[in-house]
Amino acid sequence: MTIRKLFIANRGEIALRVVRTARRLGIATVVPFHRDDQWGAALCEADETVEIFGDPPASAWLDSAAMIDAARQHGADAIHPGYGFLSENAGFAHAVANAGLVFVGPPAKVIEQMGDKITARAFAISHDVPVTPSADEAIDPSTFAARAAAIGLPLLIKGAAGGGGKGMQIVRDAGALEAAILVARQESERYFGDGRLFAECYVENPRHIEVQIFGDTHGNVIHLGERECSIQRRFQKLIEESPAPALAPGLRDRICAAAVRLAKAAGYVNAGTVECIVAPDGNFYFLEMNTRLQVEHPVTEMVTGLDLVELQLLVANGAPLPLCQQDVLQHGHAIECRILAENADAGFMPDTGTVLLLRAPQGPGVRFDCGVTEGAPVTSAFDSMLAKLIVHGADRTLAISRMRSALTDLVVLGVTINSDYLCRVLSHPAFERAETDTGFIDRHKDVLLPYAVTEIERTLLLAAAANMLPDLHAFPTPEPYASMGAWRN
Amino acid sequence: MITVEFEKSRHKIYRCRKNDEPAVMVDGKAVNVKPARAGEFIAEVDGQRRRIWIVAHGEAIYAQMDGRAFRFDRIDAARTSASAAGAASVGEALAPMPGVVASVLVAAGQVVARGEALLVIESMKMLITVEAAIDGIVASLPLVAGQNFARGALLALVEDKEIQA
Repeated sequence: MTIRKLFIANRGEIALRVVRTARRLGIATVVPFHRDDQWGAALCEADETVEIFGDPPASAWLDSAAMIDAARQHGADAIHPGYGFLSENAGFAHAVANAGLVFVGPPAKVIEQMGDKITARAFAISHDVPVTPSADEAIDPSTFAARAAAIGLPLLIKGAAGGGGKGMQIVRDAGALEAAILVARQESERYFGDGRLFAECYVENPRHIEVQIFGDTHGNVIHLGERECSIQRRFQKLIEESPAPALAPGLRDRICAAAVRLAKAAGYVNAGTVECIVAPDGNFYFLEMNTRLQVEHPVTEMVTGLDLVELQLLVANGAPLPLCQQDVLQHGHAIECRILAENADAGFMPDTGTVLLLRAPQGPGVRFDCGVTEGAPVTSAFDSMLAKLIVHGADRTLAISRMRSALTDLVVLGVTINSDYLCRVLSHPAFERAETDTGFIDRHKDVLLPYAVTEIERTLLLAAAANMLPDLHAFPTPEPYASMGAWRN
Repeated sequence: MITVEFEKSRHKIYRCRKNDEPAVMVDGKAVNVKPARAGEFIAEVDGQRRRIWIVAHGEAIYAQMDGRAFRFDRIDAARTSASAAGAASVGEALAPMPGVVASVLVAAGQVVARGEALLVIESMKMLITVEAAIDGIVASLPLVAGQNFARGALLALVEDKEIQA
């Protein structure tokens, strides 16, 4: 069949990202919105919009029956789930297919097998893909704590159905194991509606390396190279790049080959990502598979020149992949920064507000995937990621330099964002030397502080800010004006 | 003239003229501030120029210079003294950030020990346990699970047992 109208079961920057490719391919789009979230850029560019309901608002995007109803009512013949929300929900993929619609993603049975950390690991082991020593609660819940402790410390406790850093606890001291199990279970139940747990050996300061996989319904599976996503805070990625710097070519080939082997064995169709960690000793371990388009897919698009959403739609239509492994070429280097509404200098505390002024960075090799528009309220109802800034350069040095300029040029006023902090990370000599691992942010926190404002900068800033005030009068001013205006930062 | 406190230092600012153009006097230096595009200004002093993005919104001014953001808030004299007088009591748990109540673990009237979990709040992807700051009795618990709150909202109030008795 051929997709003519696509329902995008998502919001924010990814909804806009999918709309853009669909429109280029002549496919009509339908994007849902909530009463409290009508500012998404995708809503202006979609052919049709449809109101969805829920309280809290995010629950509307998790209501699979409502999503399918909305898609059918608008005559859509396919649903793109984006990332997050229902994207890795096998039940949703199944329900979409049952409703006679095309699910732009892998078949439900593949999501079931590869989306579950525990079955995916068992599958990896049976296909000679290395995994870290682990303990699965489901085997025997009564002995879970003892089996977890037997792996040795440090230990990671996480939800079997989890992802995105939610519901993960590190245990460094045997006495803290019980408490960590409780918290992980609570978070897991809350975020994934599934409290099953899983414990694994915690590899300290690994590099996070992942491989972009693509499969079609004709049995072809290729990889589109790797990404490194080691710069993380609270287990969530902040900066991603492709290719992975400082990865020995032999190791890179082994990881990519293992990813393809795994995906082929699973009968993988559409876009997916095989995530690994690479230990300081050069060993790599399978972490999990993400059965969807990733947040960081643009870095792969920048270096391969491909449009991953276009490939997704082609494959969903039943067409074979238009290229084979030898056709996939990587040019230069790409970096992505996640632009988050948070105060990185106050423990990465989320911030809320209103986007009062938004100026996108421009220039050679710069791409800005933005989910908000001026006037948009930024609330705690949704994820704190407002946009993604992606740059490309002939080499990593140029990409870093372009990213620093683009981060400086990005203007968002009305809510605190992390662009200045990201710029400091990109300016750190250790980042420039590609000494990147998941411990980077914590290790360098003492030098990733804001730069001091010089006296002249302070004078210019204060003059410009004070100039905005209607009660700023020429001196001397009569009382009570003189005592009226007092401001502080 | 106004006073602006910036990173703990105080600056007196008023309008003036320089080179026959409107200017702003900061600490005895006259700065020319010229509007460029919407929200964008060019400030210049002693041959140094900066592009500065500024938006005033309510009682706050947001500014960005060289990729770094700043926020200025009006100090309301009345409000400042009021909050100083009624400074948050030690048993008051205020929301560190906006969010939603995930679960309430105690009931009003319950005796709690210092460090005991009162409620769990969720903000963006974090679950945070709010603990009792003192031994006492839960005097106020204004929110229920699922309810949203703003930064600074009262989440729980624990009163000293002696005071209650």
